[in-house]
Amino acid sequence: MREPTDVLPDEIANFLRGETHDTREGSWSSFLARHNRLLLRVAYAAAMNREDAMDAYAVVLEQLREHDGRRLRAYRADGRSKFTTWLVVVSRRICVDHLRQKYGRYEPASRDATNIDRTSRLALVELVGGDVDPASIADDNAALPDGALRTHELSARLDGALGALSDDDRLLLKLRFDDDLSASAIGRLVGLPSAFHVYRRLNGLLAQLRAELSAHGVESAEP
Amino acid sequence: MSNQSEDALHLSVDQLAAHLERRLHGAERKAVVAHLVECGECRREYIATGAVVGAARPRWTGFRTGIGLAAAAAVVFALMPRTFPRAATTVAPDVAMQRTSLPDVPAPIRLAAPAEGERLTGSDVRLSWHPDGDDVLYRVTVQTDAGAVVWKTETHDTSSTVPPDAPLTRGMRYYWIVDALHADGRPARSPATSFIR
Repeated sequence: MREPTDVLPDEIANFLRGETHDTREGSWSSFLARHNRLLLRVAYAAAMNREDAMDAYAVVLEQLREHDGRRLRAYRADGRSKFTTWLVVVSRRICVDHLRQKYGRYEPASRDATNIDRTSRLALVELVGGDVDPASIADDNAALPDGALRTHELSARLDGALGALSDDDRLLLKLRFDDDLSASAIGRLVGLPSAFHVYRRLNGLLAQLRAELSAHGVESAEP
Repeated sequence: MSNQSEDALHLSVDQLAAHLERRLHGAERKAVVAHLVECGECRREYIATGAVVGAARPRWTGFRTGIGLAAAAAVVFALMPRTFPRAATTVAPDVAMQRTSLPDVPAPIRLAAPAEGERLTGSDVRLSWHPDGDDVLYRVTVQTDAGAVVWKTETHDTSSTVPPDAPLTRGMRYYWIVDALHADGRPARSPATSFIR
């Protein structure tokens, strides 16, 4: 059974179906009155400063309205998401596209390419529980051939251990160690009740990884 | 993400919105999570969008000074796991945003004593609940109706006594809640329940 919040809000339905100019204008005004704050919040979250935020906000309104509400018509009131959540995703994409056109695509230092290595390093640091500086753990450019070989072996073992985890568990590790989210932020995002639950689950995963690596003779992050 | 061929490589708006609402199941949910693991761009979008959607989510510590009991009761109701049926009333979108998805908790922890609203006249405040399985770590939190945590502890037992030096005032109403975490990471939570010291 669908909840009332799954249904297309009246003002949107009226805007999309409005037969007269006045009806459509009135419905659009109602839409703005109800969702203005939310759209502003999205714009401010996506932009780096107030000017860009207001600029992005204006673009969002323009694109939501253009072509007889083409974007709004894409919302399917099928119970999979509330209209407001869907609206946040759509409007944020509009903001990001606009800001990319204005400033170019943001490339986070080829982060994707190094995700696995970075996760490996940080997770290894956690695994050994020592005061190891992640930057000090040798990378593929390690000066000593033996060190590079050992690092490669460590990385391969860790990849294997990570690969044995479920996608949910791997996502948890990514959010914590790749994206540097706090435990409470992770909890809110994935639906765990508190940071306490996130920490306990992370600790369980790290213990699992540690055991897996230990079974293969890896006892330390030192190459 | 405006490029059509590029769009095909990333999560759709519908998929992301539904996943944020935790309404995906089975193979589709599995595919979305697997994609989030591998795709840094979608994960960043998931994080950023989730932060906006969840910005006003209610939390257990969200009681505010001056909130009356009726308002507190409403918050407590909103905090109940989603296995409880929700009232089918139309709500404003902003309110809907604030009420949005609670964790998928299979069943709430059942509190044993004290009962909701019970006045405790003895010298000890002993809190007890029903076991939720083996090897479960429980965290017990006691708060004022203004949201201030006055005492909390973690235990593997199913009861705990608030120490005499905890700052509980006679005649005041307090709320307590039990979080549980199973060894496999599965969480559970009790409804918030009040007692009067």
